[in-house]
Formats: sequence, C-alpha cells, structure tokens
Amino acid sequence: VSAPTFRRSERALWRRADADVVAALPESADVHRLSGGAGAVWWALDEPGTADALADDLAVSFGVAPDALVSEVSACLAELVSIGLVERS
Amino acid sequence: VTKPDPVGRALSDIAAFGLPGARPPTSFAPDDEEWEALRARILLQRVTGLAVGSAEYGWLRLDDGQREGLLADHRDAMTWSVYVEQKLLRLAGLLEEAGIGFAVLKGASVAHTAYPEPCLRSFGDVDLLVRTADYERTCALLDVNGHIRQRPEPRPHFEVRFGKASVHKDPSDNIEIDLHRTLVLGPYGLWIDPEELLDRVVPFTLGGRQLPRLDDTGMFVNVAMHAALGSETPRLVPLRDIAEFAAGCEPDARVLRDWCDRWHLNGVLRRAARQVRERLGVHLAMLVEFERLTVAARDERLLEAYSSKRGAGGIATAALAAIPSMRAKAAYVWALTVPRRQFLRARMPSNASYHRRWRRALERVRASGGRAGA
Repeated sequence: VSAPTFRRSERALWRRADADVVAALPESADVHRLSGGAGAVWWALDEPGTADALADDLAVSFGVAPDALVSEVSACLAELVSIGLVERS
Repeated sequence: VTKPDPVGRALSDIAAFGLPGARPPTSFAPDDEEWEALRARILLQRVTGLAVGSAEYGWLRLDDGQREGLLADHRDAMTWSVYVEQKLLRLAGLLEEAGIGFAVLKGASVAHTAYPEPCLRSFGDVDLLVRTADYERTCALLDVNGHIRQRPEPRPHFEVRFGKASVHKDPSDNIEIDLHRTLVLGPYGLWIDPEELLDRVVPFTLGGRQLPRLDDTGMFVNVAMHAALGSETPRLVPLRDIAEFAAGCEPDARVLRDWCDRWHLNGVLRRAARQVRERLGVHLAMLVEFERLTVAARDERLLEAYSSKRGAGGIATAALAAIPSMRAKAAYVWALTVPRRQFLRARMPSNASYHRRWRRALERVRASGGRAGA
C-alpha cells in the first residue's frame, strides 16, 4: 500500500501574509491563520506529496534530520485535512 | 519651492513597487512620527501587500516594531479579502440559481488575473455588473436574502434609466455589495454599453469554481474609468491596476479603439495614463500612447465634472449631455429636483427639505454661469 498523497484543496481561498497564510473554505465561518510549522507545511504543499516527502523538503529548509519532523508534519497534515484545506488521496 | 514629502514619496514608491517601468524607490527608514503617518496612508490606500513586499525587498527600512505592525495590518487585510471572496462565492450561487448573468468587477477578479500574487491586491467589497434588464430583479433578490439597500433611488426606476449602481449590505457580515448596471456615474456611464461588456465575459477561478469577469479589454476600461472618474483625486490601487494591465495584459486594440470612438473614452484613458505617470512614477509604452490621444473640447469640459467640479454637483449636471431626448432630460431633472422624501431623508437626515435642495441646485446653476450640461 503506497503512502497517501496530500495536496491543497482547490476550494481553499488563501492569501500569503509574509511567512503566514490566511485560508478558509468557501462555506466556512472560520478563517484560519497558518503560522510557524503549519505555514511551512502549506508552502511545502506547492507540490502535492507524501508526509515523508514533505518532511524531507522541510528538513532541508530547517537544517534538521527528516525523521525529527515526520511526526509533526503528519499531525499538521491531519489537522489541515480535518478542516478541509488539504485533501488526502 | 515645494517642501519635500518623504512619506508621500514612500507611499508612491510602495504603490509602484515591482512594476516594470517604475522609477527606483528611494530608500526610506521612517522615524516614529513618519511611520505613524505612512502606516495610516498604507491602510487607507489598501496597499499593505505592496508595503510588505517593499520591506522584504529592503528599500523600506522598518524596525522590528514597525514591521510587526505592518504584518498585523496585512494579515487583517488578507483575512477581510478572504471573507469578501467567501461572500462573492455565495452571491454567485444565488445569482446562478436565479438565472441572472453577471460579471465580477475589480477586487477579486483583478487580484486573481492581473497581479503576480493576489496578496498584493487588497479589496473591501464585492462589485458585480448585471444587465440593466436584470438590475431591479437582482436588487429584489438581495433584499429577500437579507441585504439592506443603503440608499433609496430618487424616483422609482431612476437607476435603470440614469444611474450607475446601488450599495447593499447584510448586517450579519457587514460586507458591501456594489451592484452595478454600468461602470460609472454621469455621462460616461450612460455612453458606454454594459451589454457589450457582458457579452465578452471570460472565466476566472476562485475557490475551485469558475466565475465570470470582464475580458482584458473590458477590465482595462473598467479600471481606467474607475481611476480617472471614480474620485476627484484617484486612489493609488486603481492606478496600480492600470499599470498592471498595461504591463501584463493585452487589451484588444481594435475593440478598444472602437469603444474609445463610440463611448468617448479618449479623455478617460489619457487622464488615467497621466495619473499613473504622475502619481506612481511609472512609464509604460501603452500608457505613453494614451497620453497622446486627442480629446474633443466638449469631453474636456465633461471630464472637469468628475474632478474640479465634482463637489458642486458637476456629474449630475454633466449627465444631461448624454441623455438623448428632451423628455428623458426632463424626467432626469424632475427626479433629482423632486425626489421621494425617503431619498431626501437618506441624503440629508437632519434637514430633508425640498427648499434646501432647490436652493443648492440654484447655487450650482449660478456658479456654472447657467450652463446645464455641455
């Protein structure tokens, strides 16, 4: 079984605000501010990828070992999927 | 000798930041007083994204506190833009369900098509253009869906004959909807044919959906009219919009020439192009061409109605030039001199009297030497 791929939802309305992202779904009452690690994951999703691949990309940016980031990236992706801004396939 | 205005220069450089043909920005490190003034003008002109870009680039040198303040302002502006886009998508659904064709004007449609990144173009409201035949039905649709019209018409059906737009607001979200049946008030709004603009709509993508916008030629005309005729001193964002279009889009030259002839647009384009050069310091080939356009003497006088004579009822008076028959002119004058009481109350809550309105109108006629229209 291959690892799931994550991508930004095409329905997401979003804006860059420096390193942060402001994002919402069309029908949602909430507008989310993605900062810190969540913002970094959003930017890494410029290209769809698996949690491992995204962690690899971010590890290069942050200068740490990928293993140190996988669990945090996975948790962040799960949260973004739960609010609908990211889709899993 | 003109006193140097470093804050004004910085604001102009921010509004022109990153454009091809822009003069090099002047490095600026504001002190606290200058930053307070600049920040207020950045907010007023809705250029937080361009200011953040300027700070990232380094010519706008902010200390940590100033930078934090700017980023907070920008996040607020972006959050509001997303709210407005959510509203736009809900409205699009309503209109499509009712079978009403429309085009998104300015705001989201410009941010997502003309700018390199939508975060560089803030906006505060929703602007929609509908066919004149659908205008009153759309007003009624907004009404039954909880929107309150902000100002009544002078007389029933005035807007579909002579007007431009109405503002509607749902108190639960406080987002303004500018519902247009033409692009501007006065003679230029009456000369253009919005049906032609609506016949040429093209899609843009927002929230995974396709929404209709004016094509590049129509959008260019819209932003130029907004900049040249929308206020006495054009705001910076409409000028930036013109420069973005002139730099990156390709209006249909044949169609634009045809519209310039039939819709009297030479003066509008010339004025818009001149403002871009003077206020933003941007030189672009297309705009240089527009500055060379020949403008009829009558159109020159009518343009004054939107600038130096704007505050003296200039636009309302100038509209007479574009109203074709004497009967229609009489209906227009009657509606404005003897409007419904509810219109008067909305315009002048503390003193809604015909006497006062007529006295002001007479003062305007005297001030203009008795010339109505052009």
